[in-house]
Amino acid sequence: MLKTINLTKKFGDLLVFDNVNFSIDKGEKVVIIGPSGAGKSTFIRCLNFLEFPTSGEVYFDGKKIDESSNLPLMRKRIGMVFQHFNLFPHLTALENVTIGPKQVNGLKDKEAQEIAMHYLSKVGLDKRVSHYPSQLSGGEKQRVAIARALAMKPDLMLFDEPTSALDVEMIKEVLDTIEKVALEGMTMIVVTHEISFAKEVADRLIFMADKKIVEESTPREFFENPQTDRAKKFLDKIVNIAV
Amino acid sequence: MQFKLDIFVQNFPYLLGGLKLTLGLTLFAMVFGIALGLGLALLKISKNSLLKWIATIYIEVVRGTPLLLQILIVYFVFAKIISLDAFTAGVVALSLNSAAYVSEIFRAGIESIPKGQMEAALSVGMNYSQAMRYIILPQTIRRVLPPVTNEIVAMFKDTSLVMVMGLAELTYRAKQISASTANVMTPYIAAGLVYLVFTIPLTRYAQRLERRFSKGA
Amino acid sequence: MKKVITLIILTALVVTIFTGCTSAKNVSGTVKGDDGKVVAGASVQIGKFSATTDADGHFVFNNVKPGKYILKISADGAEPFSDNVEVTKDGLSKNVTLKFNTLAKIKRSGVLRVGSDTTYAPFESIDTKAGKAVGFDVDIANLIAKKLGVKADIMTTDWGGIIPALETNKFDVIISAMTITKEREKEIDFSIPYYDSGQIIAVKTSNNSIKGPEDLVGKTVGTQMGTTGDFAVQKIKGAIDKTYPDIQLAFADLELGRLDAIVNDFPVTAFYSKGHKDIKLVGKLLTVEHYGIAFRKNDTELKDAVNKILEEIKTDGEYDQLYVKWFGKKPGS
Repeated sequence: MLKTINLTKKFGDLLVFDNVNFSIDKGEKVVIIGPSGAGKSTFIRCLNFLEFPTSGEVYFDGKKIDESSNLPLMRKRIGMVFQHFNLFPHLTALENVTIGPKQVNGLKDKEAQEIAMHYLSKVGLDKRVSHYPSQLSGGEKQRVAIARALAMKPDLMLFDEPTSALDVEMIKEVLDTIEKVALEGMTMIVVTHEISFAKEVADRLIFMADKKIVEESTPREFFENPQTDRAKKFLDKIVNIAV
Repeated sequence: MQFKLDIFVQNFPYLLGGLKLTLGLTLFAMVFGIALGLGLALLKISKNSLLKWIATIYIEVVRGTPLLLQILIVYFVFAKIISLDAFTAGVVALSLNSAAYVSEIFRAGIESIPKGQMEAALSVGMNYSQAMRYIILPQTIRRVLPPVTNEIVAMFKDTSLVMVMGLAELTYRAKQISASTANVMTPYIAAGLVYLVFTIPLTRYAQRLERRFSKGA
Repeated sequence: MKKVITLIILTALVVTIFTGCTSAKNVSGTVKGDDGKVVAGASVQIGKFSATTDADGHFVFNNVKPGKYILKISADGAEPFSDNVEVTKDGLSKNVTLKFNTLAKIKRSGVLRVGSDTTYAPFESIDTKAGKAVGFDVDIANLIAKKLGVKADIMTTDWGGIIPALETNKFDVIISAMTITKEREKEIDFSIPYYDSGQIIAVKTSNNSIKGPEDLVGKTVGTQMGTTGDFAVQKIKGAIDKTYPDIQLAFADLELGRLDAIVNDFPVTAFYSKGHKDIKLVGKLLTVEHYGIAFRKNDTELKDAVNKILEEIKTDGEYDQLYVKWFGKKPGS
């Protein structure tokens, strides 16, 4: 469904990641894990061209995507959930979800609201639709953001550290929501530090460090039997923190 | 050289007649100035370097020269090409002038919206202009309301400069009353009071908005 | 077959008649002025034919043979128009714009636009109750307009921009207590003088040391910028000329003690001192000056017409009447 060949990103002279070859098939759930500064976030932001790759190629549904492609058309098929939610503060929870279907897909108010209500109840927020983001908790905000992305009925969802900005007691409600979406068969790429979530949900795990993909395996293999020293070092650290 | 109540009372209606012109100039200049200013701001943040350059030069030239000079240029120098009547020339000069200031307010406002807002808008498939229209500008307008209100107050006061074209707005009428009554103090104080009736509430309104926004509502 | 032939002949006949009709009125057009309004009664000439425009400014010629002609159009107060034209077999349609002189434009619009800085009583100031300009100049303007068969529109203008405003056609004449000077005549034309004035010194009533121009040396003297008072003080060596945009501000400063004296037009200063007993006029007139009505250069027709009116009202007593009304005495007395 989505494939990158030798994808490289630099900010000026600063190399963020180098020659990344990656692909994901329909229905697959891939978790990207790794130390901060490894380029994970920038990598998935290059997949929907919120950042433009410096070199290399991105293929979506077999078609090569570059700066001159119809990016809005591609982006509406790739949902994205951000670390800091990025809800629209001037719109209610409901309006945050309806604005995409209304303005991008040209749906009527009523249709857009039906779709929005469907996804807001899926994320458990059908009672909070007329609240503004400033009136919602962090976990609720992130669930609205998930509903906002789902309402566009995307083929692929990108999650960029969706729980990193949340208080501990809210992490679970968001992870449960993502898991629920996963169980319905959504193709997804999730950048996260949540090991148990990775173990439970991911079909495949990618370990990114030092600006490249270091290891690629199933979650179980990776956590029980990491192949590289770099992965071992990383796992030692996060397990220590967890304990 | 003293304040005379009888002069004040007798001439106040005539003075107040100048308010129509002052308010008319402010209203038109505000509408055109804000529209033009928003356009300039969008040019200035655009990726096209030619458009950006045009907007930058325009803003620099207008902000770097006195409004009085701009009025004289629009009225007298432009007359070689198109001879505008004084009111139209006043609206044109004030609009062109305030557009430069308003555009900088808008630009700062747009740039103060977190980058994540544009990204989120793009990520649901909006194009640049949809993202601007539905996500960025509605948030910008709330933030720029206080400084734009202050700009309107400034423009309201600046309308007095159109008297160089003989437009009988508030200040010029005060000047005329001063000539016909041979009294300097009374008409100018009266004119000052009329300005204050408008500027004080507007300024207070802007301050209240500012406080409300700084609380993060 | 016979029917078809008849039909063809009939069609040919109809076409011939129609084209015959249209070729009868084959040259036409509209004449407008450069003020955008149509010109009625203009005489139009093409070859040896001539016609006059109707109330809508239209002209029509019939049966002008195809060929090259000279089209000539003339109207009162307009530059004659002449152009080489070619009448084809389809005729000719031509719209022409005539350039009118200012006098003709005034008569066509029915309005004489008068520029005046209405902060100069008793010549021009605003009657705040009626909300309109009053004064000697205003009455003169109305009288001239009446004699031209039009109405005067007094357009308030700031003194600083009054000459540029005339030159850029914001109005037709300046009647604003303007003294005829050599300098100004480089830019604009003047009528014959319509008021004799001069500069006078004003001081505080308590001041007994200033009695004439020789006493102004080393003193600060207030004037209105760009007036003949300003020019007169500049010529007094050692006097400090402090200019104001508005003479009222100079009077205020004199009363506040920031000026030693004011040099300004005699009638205006006299009007001011009437209401302010702390100010007095001293000495003789510094200059002898004449006020004139100002025109744009080349508006000769208008200037001639106004000069004629001025001479007329000076002899028939109408001028004297206005003079007495505003200055309380006859001219020269």
